[in-house]
Amino acid sequence: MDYFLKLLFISLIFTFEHHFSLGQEPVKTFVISGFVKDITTGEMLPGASIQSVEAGLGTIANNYGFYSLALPEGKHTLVCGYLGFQQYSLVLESNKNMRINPELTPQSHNLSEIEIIGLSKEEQRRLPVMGLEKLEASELRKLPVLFGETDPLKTIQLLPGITSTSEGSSNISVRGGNPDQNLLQFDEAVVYNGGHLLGFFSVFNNDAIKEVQVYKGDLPAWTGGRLASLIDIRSRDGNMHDLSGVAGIGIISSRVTLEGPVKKGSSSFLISGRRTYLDMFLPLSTDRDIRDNRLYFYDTNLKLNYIINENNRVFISGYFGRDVLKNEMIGLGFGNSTFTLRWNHLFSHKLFSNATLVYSRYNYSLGSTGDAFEPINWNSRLNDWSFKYAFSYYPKAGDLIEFGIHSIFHSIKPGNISSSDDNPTIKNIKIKVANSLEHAAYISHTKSLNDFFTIRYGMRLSIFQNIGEGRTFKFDENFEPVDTIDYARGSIFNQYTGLEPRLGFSWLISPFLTMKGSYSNTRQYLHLASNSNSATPLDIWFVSSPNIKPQISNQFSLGFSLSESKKIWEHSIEFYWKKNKNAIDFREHPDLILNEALEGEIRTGTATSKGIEWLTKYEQSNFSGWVAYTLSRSERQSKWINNGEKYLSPYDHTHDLSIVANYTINPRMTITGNWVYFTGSPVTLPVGRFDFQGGVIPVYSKRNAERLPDYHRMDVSFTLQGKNPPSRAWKGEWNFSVYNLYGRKNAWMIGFTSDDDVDPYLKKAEKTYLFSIVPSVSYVIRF
Amino acid sequence: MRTATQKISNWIPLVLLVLAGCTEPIDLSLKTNPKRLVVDAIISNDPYVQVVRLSWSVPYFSTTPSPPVSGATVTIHEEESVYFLRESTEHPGYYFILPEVFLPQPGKTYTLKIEGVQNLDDDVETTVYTATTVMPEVVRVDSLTLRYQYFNKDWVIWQVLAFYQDPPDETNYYMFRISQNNNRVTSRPSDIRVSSDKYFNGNYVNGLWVQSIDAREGRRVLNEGDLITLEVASITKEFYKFLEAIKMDEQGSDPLFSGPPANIPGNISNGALGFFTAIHTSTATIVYDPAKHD
Repeated sequence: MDYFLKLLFISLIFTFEHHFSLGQEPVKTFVISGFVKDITTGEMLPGASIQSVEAGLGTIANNYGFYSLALPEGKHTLVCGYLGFQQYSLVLESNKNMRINPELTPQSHNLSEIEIIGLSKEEQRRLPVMGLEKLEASELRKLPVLFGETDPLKTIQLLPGITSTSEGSSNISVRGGNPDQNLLQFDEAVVYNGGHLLGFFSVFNNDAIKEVQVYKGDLPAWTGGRLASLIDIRSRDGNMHDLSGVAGIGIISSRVTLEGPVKKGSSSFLISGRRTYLDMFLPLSTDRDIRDNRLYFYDTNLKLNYIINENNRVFISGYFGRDVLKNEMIGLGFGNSTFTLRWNHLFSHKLFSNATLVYSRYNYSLGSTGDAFEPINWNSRLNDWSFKYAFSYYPKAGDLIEFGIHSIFHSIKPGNISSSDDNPTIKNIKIKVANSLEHAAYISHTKSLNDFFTIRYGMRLSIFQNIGEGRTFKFDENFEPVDTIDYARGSIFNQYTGLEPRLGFSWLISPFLTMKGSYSNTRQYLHLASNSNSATPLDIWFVSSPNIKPQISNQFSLGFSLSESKKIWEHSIEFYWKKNKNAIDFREHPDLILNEALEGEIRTGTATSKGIEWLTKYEQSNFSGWVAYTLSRSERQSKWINNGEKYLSPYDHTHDLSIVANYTINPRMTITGNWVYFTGSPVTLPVGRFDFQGGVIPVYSKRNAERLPDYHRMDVSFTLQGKNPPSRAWKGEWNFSVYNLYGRKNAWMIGFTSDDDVDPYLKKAEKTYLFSIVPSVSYVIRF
Repeated sequence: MRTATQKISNWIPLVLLVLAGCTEPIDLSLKTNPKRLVVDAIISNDPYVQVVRLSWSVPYFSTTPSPPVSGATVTIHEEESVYFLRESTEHPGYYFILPEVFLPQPGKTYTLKIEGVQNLDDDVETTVYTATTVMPEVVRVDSLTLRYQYFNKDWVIWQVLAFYQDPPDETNYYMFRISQNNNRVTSRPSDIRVSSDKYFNGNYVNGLWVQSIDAREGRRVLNEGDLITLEVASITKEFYKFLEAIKMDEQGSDPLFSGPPANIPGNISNGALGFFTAIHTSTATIVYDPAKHD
């Protein structure tokens, strides 16, 4: 099938190029291009739409707020719209290539948003990309969350097809896929562990975020490397005009963000920090066991951006976050650091480029002290260096060609362990560092064939190389290592190459009905050795190798969306079918920690997922919300697991429903609520027991053959703006929220207990639930 | 390493406390798989009787001991020799042989054969269940010591520390059990500790924490003058994995640290549960003295 698709793809390129380059009338056109900005802060507005009323031609600003629109000679009324901003319009005479930077004014509450939404949505309809969800930081802020900590990774779980891997976790599964199949990016740097405090909080500080975009498997050609999704989080640029800031005090953490111009109008900075102070209360505890613990996390964001001239712009962004868990016996520290340098350069009105340099690191270290056990130090890290050069070429209106290259150097140190004892029993263990290179080159063409039909076709070539110095094992049919092969430093000892076609179309059937379809093929070369459902800090990433083939996914989707003339309602339905080859799972009772021959624990198979995702959005000036429902099934099969029979993905939820509503009572008061319901997660439960040496040992059902009780929960939040007299330089805002309003005791796990000393045969089932009613309050100051 | 993950697992209660996690009993109706033969057979160089216990698996929530399997023919094969085990009249389902007749030797291969199993309908099965094991080589334990340790109010113990030379040229697997005044106090799999020499291959094991004795207030089980025996048994890799799997299972299946629970991998043919293995034990003793060990 692969071969067939590639053929089809190549023939498509030729057909379209041929067919639509013929018979064009030579009309003189000029290019209008520029950056769309927020007039108050100078912040770029990616996704803003730009249209010529007369020509009926339009486009959408890219991720850096840049647009380019070729318009025929003559008079045009240029209209620019963006959600939450007043419409901008300008009459111009197209007689030469022009640079126009529309500056949009944020909307006040009294104005109707509907017109703007309509304009913006019209262009989104044409976008031949599916499964794309976008949330802005301002939307995220309104929603109720656990402990009042606004968290983009939790909010996106309210969208169809995206679920948390376990209660309260910021770790997510997209369409039944494993969490490691999500490419989590912050300013284009991969974030390898998105969780703080065992995954209950995400590493992203909402105040530093501009927007979150999730691509559910239909990845555009410019991205790849993961099967299930791209979660693209972009930070704010910082206010270009005035010094401003946000400070928040919550029950778990406090945070401060400061931003402002370095040089007015041309450069800005943003710096943001957050720290939890839960542990500051621990010493007050009367229980000495709690008192002596340290448990906190912090993170910092830094962004600098500099407009050198109208053709060049530079961004620097950095993230550093760390978790610390410590007491007198043991200490654990882990965290991500990322650094991104980006350079936007305009070669011409039609050719936009962005070069990106990224450094990303995830590491953890674990150490023990005291005399209870031999002191050990254990550390592990993953480093990435990457370079990306991406181009967007706008030959004419409705036509976009994207191409570029991308290289990543991965260096993984799975784990070193050493003892600091003078007379150690434990020997030093160093699992060999695994180095590899991942390259890609891509080209993609998005073309409006006419006013109704837009296609996108693209191809990504990915190459993966294992580089020495390295070690691989040969395994026998029982996965026992039988031979060790060492490779010299610098040698390329294994390579995988793959062509990944990406296709999509959009068809505006009527002014209200749109149909979209897509196919995408993706490959994943980097995998996480984890068979648990949550983000534990002790991550072990490993790369494809002579033993481990890349995971390959094929996904087909088809969708319809329907809106009405006022664009208050919008309904969409999307069908998808996905099949992964060489899907990674692990043998039963795997030994994943500090295991040099880790590959011997892996059992590959296939994973299939299919589903229907329905989303209805309602948007009016004072009332908005959505209903998202997913009906899906995700299964896996491996000849070494579950006797070769199919089993459910641990993230399979047959039904998954989220209802979100947001009501603005008056300009000072907003109330938001959400209700979620989903079928309980699959679990493996005992179906018998036997005796061995006086102990009771369970016999289990087939893997994931049973389910936890169904999950449901309601959360509400209430935001109250302070009176905020205009004379005052700052504005205050209270947020009160309740997580799990009606105190549903959702099972997080089911366990079995007995008192072995009394009667080991008397077993009782009990469920553990994490959260009952959790109220929280926070206060935010903006200045 | 396991101990390290266990240490991290100790954080779970703290995290749960912070996050207000609670447990409550639930009514759960479990399905039941058809019953299967269970073999519980550890043979050793101990000069005591060798016992093979046969029973049936039962529903998970059953509150009685497993019913015995009586009247089967149980034999152990050592190269060309065949040893017949006799069923105890007082304890049905327990088949034994005296050490004067049969004492396993290091390096030799042993095969257990079970024939003529009568199922609960009194039909005699034609299935022959077999399992094979190799007796591991001996590793001598030099000594042990006790050390009082307070971790938290629910976790106060005497650590049992072992001293011995780990052989360098092979991968060794160990099982640690203790006896108090010659009564084994850690016989259940949940009380047994196991280790491979992954982290200390070839080193002198210089006071490794291998077992624990409860020292909580009101539960202090040691009295002055008690004789504590540490048994260091060399075990096979397969048996190590079996015990490790039981330990993993007992830690429960929380979504944070563990994957899906899975059946404990036995080594008996034809779908029977349990394990047949040979172990080689070596012991060291100490007399508990509060002045030295508290």
